[in-house]
Amino acid sequence: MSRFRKRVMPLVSLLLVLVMVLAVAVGCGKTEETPPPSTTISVTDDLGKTIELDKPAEKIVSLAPSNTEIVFAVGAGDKLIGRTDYCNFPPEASSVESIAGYSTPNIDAIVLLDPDIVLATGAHNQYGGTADLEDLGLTVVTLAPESLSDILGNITMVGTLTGNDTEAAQVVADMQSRIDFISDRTAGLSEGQKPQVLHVTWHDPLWTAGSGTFIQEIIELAGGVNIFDDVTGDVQVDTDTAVLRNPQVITVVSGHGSAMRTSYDYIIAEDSPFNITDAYISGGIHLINADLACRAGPRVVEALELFAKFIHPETFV
Amino acid sequence: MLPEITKDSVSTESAPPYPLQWRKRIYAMLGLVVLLIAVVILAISVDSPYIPFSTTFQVIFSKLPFVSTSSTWSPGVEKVILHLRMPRIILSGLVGAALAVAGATYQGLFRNPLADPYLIGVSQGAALGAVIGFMLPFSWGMWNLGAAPMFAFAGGLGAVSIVYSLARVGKTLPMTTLILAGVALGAFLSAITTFLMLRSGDTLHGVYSWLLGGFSCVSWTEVEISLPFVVIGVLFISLYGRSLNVMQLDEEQAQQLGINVERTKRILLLAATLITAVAVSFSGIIGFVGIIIPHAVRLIWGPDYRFLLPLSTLAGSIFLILANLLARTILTPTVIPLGIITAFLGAPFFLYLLRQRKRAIF
Amino acid sequence: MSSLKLQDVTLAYGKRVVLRNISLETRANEVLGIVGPNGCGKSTLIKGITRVLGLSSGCISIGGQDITKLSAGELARLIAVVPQNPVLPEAFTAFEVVLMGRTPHLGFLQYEGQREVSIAMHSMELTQTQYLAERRVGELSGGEKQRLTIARALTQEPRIILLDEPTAHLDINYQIETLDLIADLCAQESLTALAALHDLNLAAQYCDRIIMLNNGQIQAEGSPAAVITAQNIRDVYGAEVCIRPHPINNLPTTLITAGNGKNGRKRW
Repeated sequence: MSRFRKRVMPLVSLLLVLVMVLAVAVGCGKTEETPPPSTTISVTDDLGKTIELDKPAEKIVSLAPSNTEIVFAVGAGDKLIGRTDYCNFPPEASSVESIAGYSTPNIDAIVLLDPDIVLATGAHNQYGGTADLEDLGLTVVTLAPESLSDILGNITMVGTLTGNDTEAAQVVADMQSRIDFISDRTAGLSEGQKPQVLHVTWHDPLWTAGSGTFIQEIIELAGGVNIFDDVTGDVQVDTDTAVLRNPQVITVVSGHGSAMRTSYDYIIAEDSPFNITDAYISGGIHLINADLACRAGPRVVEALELFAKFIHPETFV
Repeated sequence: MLPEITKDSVSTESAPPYPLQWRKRIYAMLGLVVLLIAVVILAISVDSPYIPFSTTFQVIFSKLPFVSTSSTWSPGVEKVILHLRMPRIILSGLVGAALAVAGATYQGLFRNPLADPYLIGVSQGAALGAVIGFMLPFSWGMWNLGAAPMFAFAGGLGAVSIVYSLARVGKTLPMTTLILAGVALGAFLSAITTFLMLRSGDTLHGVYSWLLGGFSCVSWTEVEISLPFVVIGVLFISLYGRSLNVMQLDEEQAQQLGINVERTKRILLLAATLITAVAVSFSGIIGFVGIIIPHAVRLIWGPDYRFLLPLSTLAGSIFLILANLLARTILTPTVIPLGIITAFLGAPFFLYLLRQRKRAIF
Repeated sequence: MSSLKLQDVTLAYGKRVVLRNISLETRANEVLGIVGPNGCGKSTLIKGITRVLGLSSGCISIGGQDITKLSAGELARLIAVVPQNPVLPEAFTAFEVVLMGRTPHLGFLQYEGQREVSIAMHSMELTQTQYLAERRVGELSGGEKQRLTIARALTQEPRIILLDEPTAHLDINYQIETLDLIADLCAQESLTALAALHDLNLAAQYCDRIIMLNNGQIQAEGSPAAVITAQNIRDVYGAEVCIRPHPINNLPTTLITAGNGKNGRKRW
């Protein structure tokens, strides 16, 4: 018995160590490197990183609904092989394989798809996700637009990456003309002619968009004044302050990615804290689809047109 | 009257009861090694998204030395298996082993069946240390992961000493005071951690998901750093199996049986806290592994620490690899925090242990 | 022969001195009894000898070797202890607990072999506990646990065995069996026993010499006949008893009389 024990015990431990060493050895196996190919496509993304491809991207994974919309807008929808659960536009996007949520993408799924490029957003970079993907040898392009012109630039960039420069240029030109149509008509307005606008992304607690957001830019382009242009980014604000600033127009975002209307219902209700504002009294409270108001994609111009109608219904019909 | 009859039924000539258990337990160990390998392969394949077993085998065999096969799989598959799943699975195995062995060690040292790195506050102490480490701007030598593991060790050690001195009543360490002190200190330390994270804003966005426990993106670097600590720590503690057995008598008897009690206690406390800290700094707070695994092993194979420790190592690895697999596949393709899975499985088991005092398993 | 020698030993818990300037020496193969009232320091003496409690002053040596210079293992190979109310891990089997007695004889990484197993089995036979071998300790009665710890102490193969009230939980048959065993082992093998005993009659019957402690000091020392006297018992315990020679072996036998207590009412 004693012999048996003395022999088997070290054997067991040896076996364990062996398994571990083997596991590490397998993992550390080197992958052979290929010489850098001559580049034909070169762009700089919003993080200032240069992306070089030797041929247009054939396989694209998008990590955000806005990026998915851009890919389809430039006519490269057939090259999209991965999208998030929230990518619902255009309807064709739903036939593409999902790689889970926007904030929790499944990295295994992305790598398995073996894409030529991955279209990420600023948020992914902040969470360290882009670096993780790059460590795995993927080409990550980060779209982090801060203005409408940045969005147009992103569309052009995606067009270049997919080889669809012409389509992208058409989309950009169309968008630009629609933006110009509105800005031409609002440019001459005096301060007194610009209504005070409150944009509500959630009601309890009250969340709004301050300066440095698209909404701020859209409100200004549409000929209004954001009552919260003194705060920065997407922020939570005090309901009382919002009421006291007496908005003349209130735009309310619908529930994210669904048909929920609770924020809108709350604000138009009889006992709403906003029932003393000009917007409430004059019927200036409007519901806007979250997919339009929150995505930095080609449909941002539709959001601008809606805001223009809400803010200056007399000019834009 | 003396029970004379029994003298014949058990004698020195017939096989003594003890060595029989040896053989059973060694077979158990070999069985668990085989199971561990099977679970690793299962976890490589059945993760989300699924990779067929045949492909998994082919990729692994092609990477073994002296084997050359032509690759018929896409480069993405190989990358996922070798650079995502293998490190993730090995790290989760290492963390499972570390937490299970640390739990068993704390239980043995405190002679308290409910001691667990999470329940006595060591995990939370280590987490606080790790968060402070993450926040510091410098990295520590070759570790590009910064000072987190060192600070986690310091935090865990601080927590265990505070809980030990708070919970001690005279020379004993009653179960209730230990758990009360541990839970209270754990909550307090978690509050500080949360506060620090709120204060620090953007820099610690990643820390929050880390704190919930999990292995969402693990590279070989994490494995290379944690492997030596966990392997050495676990082997080192396993050497003290017999000392821990004798220490299950009270400290006075252990001393009288030739154990240097104070030194053994210090060494084991340091080693258990070290492996807990390594586990926490790479995977966040994962509760209940340290309580489920050692007790399950005790229930099946008995309380002998010489087997309890290696069996817990293997069972802990298997358990956490499977729990992680569950966390990644149950709501596929969304990944849920691993801490939720272990708490979901562990808390009922904990309550069961708390209720069941009739049958001695400790 | 290794004899245990205490020279001017003072033992204290913090500032509370329990034993003051105790000197004693065991003789080879003897059973030395320690008697005295509760709290007189019997258990403390055992803690001092096994270094569980540090000495405040004085010196303890075994075979001329200062015990403070020995490692825990070396000391445990010389001295085994049978504690009064031992904490035993409930899930371990009785055999595993007895086998723990081999701890001081094994190297750090050495596992018990056939030799260890047969020594443990032999000790269990001597203490008539072999039928318990596979039972879990949690299922055992107080008396069974006490015999188990004696088996464990014998498994240690010590030169000196310290017994702290070894018969406290035992029925009269096991009291006799156990002390017979200790006395036989001392007489036949190279074992010396130091037993703290509560029962003066057991002490008189089994001990070669008796030390009577009172208030942390030695009140009387010598043969049973010299120590177990009505006067000593009156001085130490404050009790009135009657000492008579045992009808068979003439050893002093303590007889009590009902109603003879301090507040007692004469019944006879």
